[in-house]
Amino acid sequence: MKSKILLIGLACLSLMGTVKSQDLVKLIPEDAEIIAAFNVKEIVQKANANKLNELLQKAGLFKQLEKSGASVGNDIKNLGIDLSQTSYFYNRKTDSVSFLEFIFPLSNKVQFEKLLHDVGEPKPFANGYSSIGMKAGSVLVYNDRVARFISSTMSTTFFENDSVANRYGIKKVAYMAPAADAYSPELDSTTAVVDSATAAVVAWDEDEKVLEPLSPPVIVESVPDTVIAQADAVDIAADAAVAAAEAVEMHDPSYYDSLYTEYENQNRKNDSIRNALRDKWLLGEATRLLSASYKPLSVSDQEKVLKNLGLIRLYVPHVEELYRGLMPYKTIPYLYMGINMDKFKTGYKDGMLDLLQDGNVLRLRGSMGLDKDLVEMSKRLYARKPNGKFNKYLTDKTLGFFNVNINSEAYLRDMPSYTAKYYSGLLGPQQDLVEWGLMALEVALDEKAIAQVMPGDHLFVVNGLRKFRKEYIDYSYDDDYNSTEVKKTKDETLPVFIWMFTSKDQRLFRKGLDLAVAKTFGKIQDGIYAFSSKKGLDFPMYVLLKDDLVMVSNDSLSLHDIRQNKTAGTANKDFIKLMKQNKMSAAIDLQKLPAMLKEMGVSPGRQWEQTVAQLNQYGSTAITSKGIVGNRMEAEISTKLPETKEGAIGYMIDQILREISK
Amino acid sequence: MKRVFKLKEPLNRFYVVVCALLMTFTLSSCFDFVEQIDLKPNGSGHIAATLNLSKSKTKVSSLMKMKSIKGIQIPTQAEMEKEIKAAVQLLKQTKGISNVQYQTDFTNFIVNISCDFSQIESLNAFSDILANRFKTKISNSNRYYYNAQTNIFERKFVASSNWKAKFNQLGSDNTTQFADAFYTQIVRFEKTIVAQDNSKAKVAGNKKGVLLKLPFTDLVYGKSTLANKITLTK
Repeated sequence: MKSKILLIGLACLSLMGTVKSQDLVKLIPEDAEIIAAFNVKEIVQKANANKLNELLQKAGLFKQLEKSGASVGNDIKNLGIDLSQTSYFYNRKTDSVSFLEFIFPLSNKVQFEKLLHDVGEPKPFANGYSSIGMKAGSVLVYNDRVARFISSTMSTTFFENDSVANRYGIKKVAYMAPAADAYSPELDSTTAVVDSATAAVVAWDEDEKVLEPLSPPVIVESVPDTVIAQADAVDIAADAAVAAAEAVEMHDPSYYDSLYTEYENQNRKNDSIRNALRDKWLLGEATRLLSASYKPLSVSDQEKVLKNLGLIRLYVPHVEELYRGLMPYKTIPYLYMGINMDKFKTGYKDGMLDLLQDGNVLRLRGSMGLDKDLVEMSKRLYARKPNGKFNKYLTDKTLGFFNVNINSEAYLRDMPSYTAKYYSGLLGPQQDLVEWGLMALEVALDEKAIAQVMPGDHLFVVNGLRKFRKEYIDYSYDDDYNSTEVKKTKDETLPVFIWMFTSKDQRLFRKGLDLAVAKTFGKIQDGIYAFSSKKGLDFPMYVLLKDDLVMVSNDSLSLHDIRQNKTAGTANKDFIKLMKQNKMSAAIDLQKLPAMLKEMGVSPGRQWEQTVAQLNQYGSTAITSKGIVGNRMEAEISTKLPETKEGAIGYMIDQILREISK
Repeated sequence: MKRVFKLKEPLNRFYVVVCALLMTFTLSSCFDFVEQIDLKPNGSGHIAATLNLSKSKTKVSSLMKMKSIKGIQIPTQAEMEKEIKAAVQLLKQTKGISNVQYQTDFTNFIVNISCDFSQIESLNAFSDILANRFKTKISNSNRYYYNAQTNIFERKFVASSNWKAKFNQLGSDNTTQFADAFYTQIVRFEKTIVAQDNSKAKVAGNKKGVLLKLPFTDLVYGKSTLANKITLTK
């Protein structure tokens, strides 16, 4: 337990980490799948060291360390970890095992060793490193300058392959297998297997092709799943006596006990083999990493990890490979369906996610490198600016909005070829047919005409609240209390929304709306089409065609005002700027939310009351994307937290401390 | 450290609040539950129960578009219909219950279930079965009795302290939120009423019915009760 707490503590402190960070980044191998870099200096500075100390003290970390014999004086500076440098985390995966490693720089090895007092005795390892075994499947190695926590996890599917399982002496066993068949004398010695594993020639590479067998693969064939199934397979008439004996045996509880015992024993043996392999491969990995007999991360990837590093960066060097690895199409059924992963492409290169603090604004910024074709196509897709007329609908009353600008002409033109190019591998035998269909669609659609009808800029805006008259069912009673159903009305306060988009050719919409009116689905009043709700759960809808805009709203009064060119309110400059500067933007003014919820008669519930009340100190929360910048797709989520001297991180720690003090 | 992770929850809530509260409004707080019993002198009769959420239909429809809110699973229309059918099936299988009818109106969100009963105990049995199915203890709080010899109809009702605790969890301004939520009980008899005990109940002009309409919050907080003892002429 103590070692677990210590481990978590160290992992956390690695977030806060006299070796140059460029040196440490070289410790990451080139085939790392996901890399995280923690700018400890920046984090400690932004969070305020005193606050961090207070937080860790209240969380009980220092107390735990003191108990284990370390004297840290409630100060993270006394942990021996270098808090002025960058720390790293990465994972590396093969088909058999995945490794993860935390790398954090040390400033004082003696102090750091004291933290490990309770965990175990350090032993010399290799290349001047000492090691301490942590929980099963993990090891901590360190020298004067750096500490490295390495952990390994076996793949759950690796041993599902019969030949692999046989090679390592792993036997698949089902619970209901007859005890006699499940018994395998060759597997009756875990020690022998582990010993042979140790003795086996291992090329410090966990790949199944290079690892020598651990024990003679003398495996008894898998037995049928159930005894009943086996009984079905034999001639019952011929083996009546045997079947009767089996039936007696099956009704004997000790028979099932023996099955279970065999099942458990085999599982234990299998686990022992797997664990022995895991530990051996972990040792191999640690040795390999410390001896530097591996290719480090490429210089360009190192730069990407470190350049303009904010607080924390998550970096994926090869998004497409990661994506492929996560897809389920490698299994036999998909191969049978003709799905060819080799032909599957995404066009995604590297991916980056940054946590940044900008005063009281906390930002999560993501970007992804795209291949040349995808960059060109994306540029065409996002080559549209929002209609300038949208601006006047973002006012001081606006609670939130969503704007997206896509070039629908380019979208319709490019999407068929894009789908064919990047996703054809997933189409299987239907590939040619689908490609033909996409081509036909491309030819059939008149992109230019469609682009006139709906060019691709949309704005959805929530502009305050309004009282709506709603009908409901009630009951009236006569003198003898016989009830009658009556219709009544009541006012409900609801948000007002307008969805608008540019349409230079409105003939299609106008004709459709007129048709709906002619069929009595709706009516037209003062140039506004009105469609009443058929069901209680839907709002009545109103449509206005004005200038080159189509507007849909749940509020006829708002559309009437727009139609008569009445000003809705003072322009919301922040929202307008946000919309103009991005290809996609969505924002909500949190300050307005508590009052709005109250006016609507919404109770957030007791446990949320304080949280909702605090929202009036916050600013806007926004999700934005500038589309393509350089050759990367960029997007960002930002939240303006309450204004404090310490900034966003400091405010968050204050909130945690306040909760702890409760 | 475990404590630290636990304490990050309030900050996470902030994001959840923004997303969840914008999409929905709140749990439905305006409703009518109307229970009408027509009791014959031999103890048999007819009961109709109506849950009317039409006052909150906008909120209910918003809720139904979500899968869950505040950790409470929001059933779909199909799931609700399935539950109602299951309840009706139980009702049909209850000894002494017959002529079971039900209606659902998912435009106004009104559900009505009615049936005949051969004796008043059948209502209690049905209440027990439903309580068991939905794992509530409501049947312990509500029992009906009728004595054909003494001509006394009695309803016993005890507000559970658990209701109050659960209700308080919803928020501090519950009284306002649920101001328009009522429980109405109408009991009609063939014989004339001599006396009834509930101070908030009203006797019909023909002296053959009793109406009790109570705010839902009064029941929860124990300010009012559905309990009543009605004595009829012999």
